[in-house]
Amino acid sequence: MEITNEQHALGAGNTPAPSLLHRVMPGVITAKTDQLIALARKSSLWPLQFGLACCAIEMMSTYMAHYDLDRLGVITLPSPRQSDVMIVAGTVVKKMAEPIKLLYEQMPDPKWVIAMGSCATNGGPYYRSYSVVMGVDKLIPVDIYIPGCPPRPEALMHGILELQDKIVKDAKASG
Amino acid sequence: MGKIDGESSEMASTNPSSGSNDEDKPQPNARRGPQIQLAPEALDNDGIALSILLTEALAPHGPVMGVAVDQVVVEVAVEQLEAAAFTLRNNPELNFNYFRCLATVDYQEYLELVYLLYSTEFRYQIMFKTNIEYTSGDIPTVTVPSLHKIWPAADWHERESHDLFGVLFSGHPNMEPLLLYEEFEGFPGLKSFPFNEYEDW
Amino acid sequence: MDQIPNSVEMMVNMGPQHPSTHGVFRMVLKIDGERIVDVEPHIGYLHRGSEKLTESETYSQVVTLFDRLDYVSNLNNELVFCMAVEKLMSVDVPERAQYLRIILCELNRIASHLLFYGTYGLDAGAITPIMYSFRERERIQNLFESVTGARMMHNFIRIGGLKEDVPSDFNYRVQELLGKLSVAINECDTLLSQNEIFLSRTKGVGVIDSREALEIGMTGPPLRASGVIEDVRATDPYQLYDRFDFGIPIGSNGDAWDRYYVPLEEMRQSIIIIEQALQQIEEGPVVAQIRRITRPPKGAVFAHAENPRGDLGVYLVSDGTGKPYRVKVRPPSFCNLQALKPLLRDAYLADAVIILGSLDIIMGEVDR
Repeated sequence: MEITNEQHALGAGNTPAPSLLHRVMPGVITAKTDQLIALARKSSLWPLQFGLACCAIEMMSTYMAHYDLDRLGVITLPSPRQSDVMIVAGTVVKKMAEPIKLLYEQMPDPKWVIAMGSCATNGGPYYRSYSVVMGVDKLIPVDIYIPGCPPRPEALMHGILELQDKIVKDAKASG
Repeated sequence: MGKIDGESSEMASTNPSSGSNDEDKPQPNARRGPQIQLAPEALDNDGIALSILLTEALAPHGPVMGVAVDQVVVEVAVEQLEAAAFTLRNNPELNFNYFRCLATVDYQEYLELVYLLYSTEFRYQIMFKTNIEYTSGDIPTVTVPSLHKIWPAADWHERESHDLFGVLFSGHPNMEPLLLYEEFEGFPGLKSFPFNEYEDW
Repeated sequence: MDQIPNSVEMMVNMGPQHPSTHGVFRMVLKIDGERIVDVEPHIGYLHRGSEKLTESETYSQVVTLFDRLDYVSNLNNELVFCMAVEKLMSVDVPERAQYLRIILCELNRIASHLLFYGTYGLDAGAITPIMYSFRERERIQNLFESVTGARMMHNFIRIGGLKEDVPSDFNYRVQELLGKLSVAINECDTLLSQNEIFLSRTKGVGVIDSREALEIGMTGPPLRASGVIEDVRATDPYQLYDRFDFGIPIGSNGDAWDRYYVPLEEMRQSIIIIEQALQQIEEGPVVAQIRRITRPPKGAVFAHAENPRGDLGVYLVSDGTGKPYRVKVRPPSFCNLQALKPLLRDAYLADAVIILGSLDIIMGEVDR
């Protein structure tokens, strides 16, 4: 029984490049494990429900029906032990710094942090206030910064897509 | 459409006296800044009637009446504060049963406590003020009697005032910091608090 | 309560990060079995020092700080501050500006109550109402974006009027929106108000009577749900509210269901106000002729308005320069939150979330 290239080369849509493996086992994807795992991780990012201030309202709008985040696989969860992204939305006040660090440490690896809004990026409109931490990256390492006061829901979606790209790139780079 | 300019003739009643003006005038040399005016007093008839009523009712406590644009201002000394508040609450013609707010203002030589009160029965609104002096350094050590037995709503307002300004209230059940975190040193509401100081984490 | 031997009172911490604490709010509950004995609320996790910051910003910059106080009813906050400065400066705001301010503020009230409705449903365990209410909020925010340029922090109501006039199709768009909103409010009402589970969770829970509500300083819809007729738009009308004919919903029982239903009815009344305003509005300027650099005269003033959460007051002390000397905000949520202690005494642990949600607090306002 001979599996010819033509049977696989001519088809609707994308046709796979004919390789030795495809002649033996058609319909099989091969990739590095890291990349596959990265694909799985990026497609189902579960953020911790962590709205601090005004940006939380825009974050809620993004989760809801109009700018749905569920189609990106993003479901929000209250518990840090089950989430892999922390979207810090709002002003970080010095009184809240301890709980934020605790929450970050409670999240299992691998974890990412998105700093949403200008308050979480660098203190925002409360720049010289006596009780505001100038940006959450003074406490925890941040992967993506989303500017805006508050950022539009499209901006938050763009930030999450950038995070997905970053996960893929990191996997490629480390492999 | 009101045009607020340096000197305007209709503000006859509040012609600023030169004493309070000279030290406040902004003095950049190149341009002539407008003179500092006092806010117009626009008390309507109800306000005037309330003012007279308050002067009678609070007479034993020595009130000083004033006007803040359209609200009646009553000022008493700290020693008379509790007794005057009791009168305001329990006098059947006044019946100030709703405590709106406690505002603390730092005037650098003294602190001013402004209690904003409201009567739901007669719809009266007043500002009830008292001054407390700084006695040593810039931390006030005059103790103000707590009014939370008269108005339970004053509870958190007094706690916040203590937290941000360092005002001491006597007789308050719980004076723990409300808004600031535990190890915060200093009172950020005071004008003397260094503004741009920022503790790095 | 009978003392069960060897029973210990437990302290349960509903920490700053909790799905139902409406922002960063921490409650330490002392419970005995299922009953709450005492509660100690801890606030201050969002204390950003807005009041101190206002002393170093000009008056127009302070308006942006006020935007972020109660971050779901931005225009109402801006309005209060602008009213305070205008009172101090004796500025006559043109009528068209006042009508437009009222229309925008009432739309913002509807948006804010929709958010309360959605999140309260979420607290009670219902996931559908929030989807419906946020869909309607998107419509309102769309309109705001076409008028003010931003979905949330508008910075549109300025001292002396508005920033600029509204687009030419504003009347038509608002009429269309009101039609859709009436349908949507009825839909939201049908979804949740008479739902058996919701009724058993909220009826008779967290009752506070009118005398105690006034004593503890409550304001806004929770106060009106306890039967007290206090609404700043009626008792101390500002900005042409005395030209409109609208009702004030008052509750009868003072329980959580009443505190939920009063804002729902208020949304309907807001629609009535907006319709009347659209009929009465006329062409004209939208900003008063004042200097661009605001330098109010020296003095103190108090202005207040009816925010969706209650009576927001601003006590402004000016020393004649271009920056305020002291701005004190009287936040309605701060005063409502004081009522948590008497409300939660002797309540079930499972009702703590319902009672907290019914007070409709926004932490940005409580902590400032």
